[in-house]
Formats: sequence, structure tokens, C-alpha cells
Amino acid sequence: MSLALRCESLRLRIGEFELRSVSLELGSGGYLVLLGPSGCGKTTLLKTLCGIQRPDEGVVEVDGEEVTDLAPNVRNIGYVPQDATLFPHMKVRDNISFGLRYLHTDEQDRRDRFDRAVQLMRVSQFLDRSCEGLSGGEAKRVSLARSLVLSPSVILLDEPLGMLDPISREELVSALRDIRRETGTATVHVTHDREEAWALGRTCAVMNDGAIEQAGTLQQVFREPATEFVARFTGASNIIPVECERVNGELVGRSAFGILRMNGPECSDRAAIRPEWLQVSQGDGAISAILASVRDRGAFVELEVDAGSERLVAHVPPQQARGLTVGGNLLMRMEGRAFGLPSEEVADA
Amino acid sequence: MTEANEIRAKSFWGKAAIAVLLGGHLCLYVVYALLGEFDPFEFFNVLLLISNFVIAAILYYGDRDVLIGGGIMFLIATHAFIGHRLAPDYLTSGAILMVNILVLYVGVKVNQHLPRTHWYAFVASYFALYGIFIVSLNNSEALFLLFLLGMAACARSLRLISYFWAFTLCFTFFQPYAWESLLLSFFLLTAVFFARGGVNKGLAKFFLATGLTVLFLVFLPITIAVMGEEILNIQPVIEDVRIRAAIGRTFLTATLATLILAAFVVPLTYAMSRLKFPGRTLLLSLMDLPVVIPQSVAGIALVTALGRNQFLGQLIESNLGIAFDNTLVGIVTAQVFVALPFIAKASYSAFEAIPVKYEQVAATLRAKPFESFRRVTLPLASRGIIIGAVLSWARAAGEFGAVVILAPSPETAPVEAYRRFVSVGATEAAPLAVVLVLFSLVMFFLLQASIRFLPRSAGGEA
Repeated sequence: MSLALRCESLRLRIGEFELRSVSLELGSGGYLVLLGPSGCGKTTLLKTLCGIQRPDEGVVEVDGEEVTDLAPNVRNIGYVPQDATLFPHMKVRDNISFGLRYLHTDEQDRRDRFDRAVQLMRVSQFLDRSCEGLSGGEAKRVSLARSLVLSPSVILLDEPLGMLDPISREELVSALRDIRRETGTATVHVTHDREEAWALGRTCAVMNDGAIEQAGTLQQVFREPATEFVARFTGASNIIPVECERVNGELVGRSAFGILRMNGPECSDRAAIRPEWLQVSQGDGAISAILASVRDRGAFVELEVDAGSERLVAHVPPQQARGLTVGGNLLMRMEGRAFGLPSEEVADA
Repeated sequence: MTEANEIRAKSFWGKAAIAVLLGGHLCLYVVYALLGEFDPFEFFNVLLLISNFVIAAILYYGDRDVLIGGGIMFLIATHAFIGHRLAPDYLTSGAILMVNILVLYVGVKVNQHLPRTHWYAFVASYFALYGIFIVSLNNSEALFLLFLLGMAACARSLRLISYFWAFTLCFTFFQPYAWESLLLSFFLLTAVFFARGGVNKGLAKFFLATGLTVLFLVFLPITIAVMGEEILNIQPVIEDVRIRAAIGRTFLTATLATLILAAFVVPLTYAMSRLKFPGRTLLLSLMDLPVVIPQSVAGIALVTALGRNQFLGQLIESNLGIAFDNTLVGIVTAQVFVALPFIAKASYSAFEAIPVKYEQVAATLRAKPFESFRRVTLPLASRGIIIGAVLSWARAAGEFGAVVILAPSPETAPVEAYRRFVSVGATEAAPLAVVLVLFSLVMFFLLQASIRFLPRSAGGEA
């Protein structure tokens, strides 16, 4: 598989903020979701990749060619900023065709590209409107179309689903899937929302404080988090100390919560448990716990339970939560495996 | 409901008031007749007495509003007493009585049905009118009555009262400029009364009113000049070849000066908005310098540098063949100097207001730097730039001080106006002044109108 985008040891310092040796790889046709909290450097990384920012050190390659010192207009990377940034003095049509004249192709080809992008992003009904009246989702689609007409090797999306109502989000998610299916454009999708990662991504990288904490397939990152930050950021909010040992080739952890089956290659002294893996149950291996609070979250019910000396959070289906009373006893059981985290000294290093 | 409404003729005080007024009238009648002050069988006097009795009867039996009835009787009694002394004849006296009765009626109704402020405004207006027409304007009773009727007709609404007073003041104190001041004051009142808004409306309206008042005092001379001049006086000015040439010259030089400014100031201010360099802040303040320097001083400075006998002027003239004294080049140079700050400031703030994100995105869409400037930045800034250019043009066209010192002799319009004023005086120069004001206004409105078609600034886009 050839690489559409690669960057290695990117360093950049802007005042207090700093990108600390960021390396990433994205195969052609790939879809990388870059997860991270606000202010962790996601947008700066995107700007560095597309050339708006120059890195202090490091290499950026597009389609195997180094572009580190090239201006954005010769890089063949599309960039869709968080607020769409449509040119306010142009109509939608002129926004979309903005870059076409800089492609050295004939009139027919330009028209075809324009039509394809318009059709793919379903923006044909407001081509002649001014940009000011567009809704957030419409503006994002126009902005996507504007980048797509140029057939970039990579397209960088900065929080494409941010600040949208649920219906616009659904529409845009399907538009992004269409782009992947129809054009095969390699995509970097920046977000802080892990739902988006599962909705769209194949691979995933978690960023924190200017550095990549972990990169890999979604399953790897979500089920085998490399650091405590990744575990917490991907939603495994229960982190408990365990005593780990190997029994019959399998890792088993003893905790205040009981005996856990552990994931991971090596023993470690802490384990992370996703809230949705804890269920109310009567069967074997169930552990007694005391219910501390119940909060209905619509699609699921959030329970806080005290098991041993640990307080754990569980997301259970509403029917399981029926008849539970705060302060009462209940039996809980873990579906799946807890995953071991590297010990704290390693994580802090 | 006010207390006055409760006092009815059937009450004790109502009866007492009627008795006192009627008795008073009767007593005066008898006393003056006995003293021989007037003829007791004079038609007008008898009529007053009879009408008073009739009103008393109506009040007593008909349960009417005692304020109106008693007031009317009081008026009749007073007029019977002093009427024939103040007014020149009985007819006038009768007319005053009738109007006063009407005003009394309106006043009572205002007092009963409208908020207090209306009542105060009404009473104050009555006495103010009295003061203006009877005391200050030589007893002009007829006008007083006419305006009083007008005021009574406006009493329902404070706005109408305000318009009424604007009208009255314009036609009494501002008599020579009545129509001009009336136009401006009606405009002001309409603006204030029909102003709509949310928070702090009262304060904002107050600011609007005071601000507009000062503004109109500034505009008044222009309005007077334009409205006061008859079209026939302007005719010869328009046909004067010298003046035509002067106006044409002004148009040409101001346009040239603005184009020159636009050609080098717009790129410069773009650079200043995008780059940080040593001396940037200093340069920004320096661009305002021509506003601070008195125009005559600017003219002297230019002559000192570029005059025929000065080093720089001589150098340019001998090498390039361009002279500045008394040439069009000189005029344009002076205009460029004084008009620079307007376009510079406006275009700098226009560029400054455009976020760099537009240029960054344009670059990712394959646009080279100049292309993104030409297609994105410049159109977004165009509104600010054109507004600045219009102001600069106006400044250049109106420049007098610097131009008259550096190049007094092919005359521009302001120089020509000054020449006329010096040689023939203000009255004779007035028609030319009017023509120039009209010319400036037309140009200004044309340019302002063209701005409407330019894109709005980019600041508002989310």
C-alpha cells in the first residue's frame, strides 16, 4: 500500500504551544481520525501538513514526495477549516469553482469536476445563493466540494461535524462516506468526539499536548489503550489497581472488584474497564456491589456502584436498571476483558 | 381619574363656585355701570351677562363638568371686566373669548384623559404663545389666536405639539430662514419620534436628539445657502467659462490625485496589515500627519521643497521637465499630500479586518499569493478602500490652503470661489458657492450610491 501522506518528527513551536515530534502515516484511500482534546495541537498539525504553517523540523511527504518546504498551493492537499471559511463575497458556485482555473486542464474537464463535486456533496439546489444564508451543514458541504473539485491526494478536515445539529451531522457523515467510496481520497479527520471515530474512521490517532499518544486501528486504540490518557479519552473511565498474574497463558488480574480477565501482552498493575462492559447480572462470576447513584442518559442508564474500595461507572440498558434502588445491593458482571495499562512511571516518562 | 372629574355641579363646592362667579360678574356689571365706566345696555356687555346666566342654569340643572362651566363663566367675567380695554374692539374681544373658551375646553379634557406631561406641555405652551405674540411681538392678537387654535388642535399628542413648536419657533425667531430651519427641525423630530430600538432606548433617543441638533446647526449654513439662492442667480455662474474651467480642473486633479494615492497606498497598507516590521506603528501614526498640519503650512512646506527656486524643485524641473509652481502637477501634488490620510486609514482598517484564514484557504485551493490577493483579499476590502477613496477625493477637490500656496494660478474651484469673495464680496460670490455646494453634493451622493454595490466587509462571517 502506497502512502498518501506521511510526516515524520514534525516539531513546531508557537509561543507557549509546541508540536513535539509528530509522526503519522496514512495509506492512499485511508481514513484517519485524529482524536484529541481542545488545544492539543490538532488544528496546528493540520495547518503544518497543508503548508499554512512551516515546521521547525521534520518532513512532510505527499504521495511519496517531500513537500516540507513547498507552499500550500503546490502541495495537492485539500484543507476544510472548522468554520468552512467560504469566501463571503462569492456565490456558492464561485466558491466551489474557485481553484479550478489553476488546474492546467481544459474547459470540459473543469466542468466535469465541478459537476461531480456538486453531485457528490448534494449542493446543486443552492449553487446561486450567497454564502451568508447557508446553514452550518450546507456551508461544510460547499467547503468540501470546493476542495474536492481539485482532486487532492489528501483532504484534511478540521472538526467537520462540530457545531452541527443531529440531522445535519447525519447528512454530513453520509457525505463523507460517499467521498471515501467514490473518490478514495485519503482523509485526515480531526475531532474530539469518539463517536465520529467509529462512524467514519478506519484508523485512529490520539493526540495530547502536542504529541501523538497512540496510533493504530480503531479496535487497537479503543480496546488496547497504550496510556491512561488514551484510555480515559476513548471512554474507558474506570481505572483500577490490579495484581496481575499469568494463569494457563492468560492474564488474570485480582482487584478489589474481583478477578478480571486481562487484555494485553504483559502484566501491569492497573486495568481500565469500559463502562458499557459492566452489566447488571445474576449469573456466575457476578460481583456484589452497592448502588451509589442512577442517572438516566436516554439510550442507556449510567450507574455508579461501589465494589470493594473502588467506585465504578457502568452504562447498562434501561431494562437492567429497572427496580434498582440507590443504596441497595446489586450483582454486576463484566463482559469482555479489562485491559492492562502501563504502570504510572512509564506513562509519565 | 383626576380629582377634578369628581367635582360636579350638584356638590356644595360646585354650587358655591357658580354662585361666586355669577355674583362676581353681576356685581362688577352694576359697579361699573354706576361708576359710568361703560354703557350697561351695550349689546356685547348684555350678551356676556346673559350667556353667563345661561351657562349657570345649564350647570345647575344639567350636572355638567363644573371645571368647564365654571371656567367659561370665569373667562366671560374676566373678559367683561378687561376685554374692552385690552382688545381694540368688541369683535376682537369676542373672538379672544371664544378661542379662550375652546382652549379651556381642550385643556380640561387633556387634564382629564391624558397623562400629566400632556397637561403641563399644554399649559406651558399656552403661556409661551401668549408671551411670544402678545408681549414680544407687539400685541398681534390675530396671530396669537390663530396659533392658539393650532395648538389646541395638536393638544392630543406630544409629538404634534413638538412639531407645532418647531413650526412656531421657525416662523417667529428664525423668520429669515423659516423654511430652511423648518425642514431641518421637522427632520430631527421625525428621526427622534420614529426611532425604534431595544435596550437603553430613552438614553439613545436623548443622544440622538442632542447630536442631531448640533449636526443641524452645522448643516444650517449649507441649507440656507442652497435654499436661499434663486435659480436665476445661478444661471450666469454656470455659464461662466472661467468657472466651468475651474470645476473641470478640480474634477480632473482630484481624480488624478485619488488614483495616484490608490495605486501606492493600497498595496502599502495591505503590507502593513500583514507584516510586522520595525517602525510599523510609527508609520501608522505618520500617515495621519497631513490631517494635523494646517493646510497653509502644508502648502508652504511643499513650496519650500518643490518651488521653482528650491533645490529639489529645480532638480526635477531640469531633469524631468516637470514644474510644480502654478501647474496642474503642483495642484495634484498638494491634493495628494492632504488627501493621503483618508484613503490610507480606511484601506488599512479594511485589510486589517479580513482574517488571514481566507488567504490561507485560498492557498490550499492552489491560488498563488497574488491571485489570492486579487480574488479574495482585495474584493473583501474594496468597500473600505472605496469609502476611503471617496473621502480622499472629496478632500482633494475641496482643498484650498495648500493648493493656493503651491499653485494658485490655474484656479481650482475653491480657489476661484475665494478669488470672487475677495474681489466682489460675499453676496456676489454666493451663487458660485451654491453651485460648488451642489456640485460637491452630487458627486458625493453618486460615489456613496456606488458603494452600496460593493461586497460587505468580511468581519461578520462566522
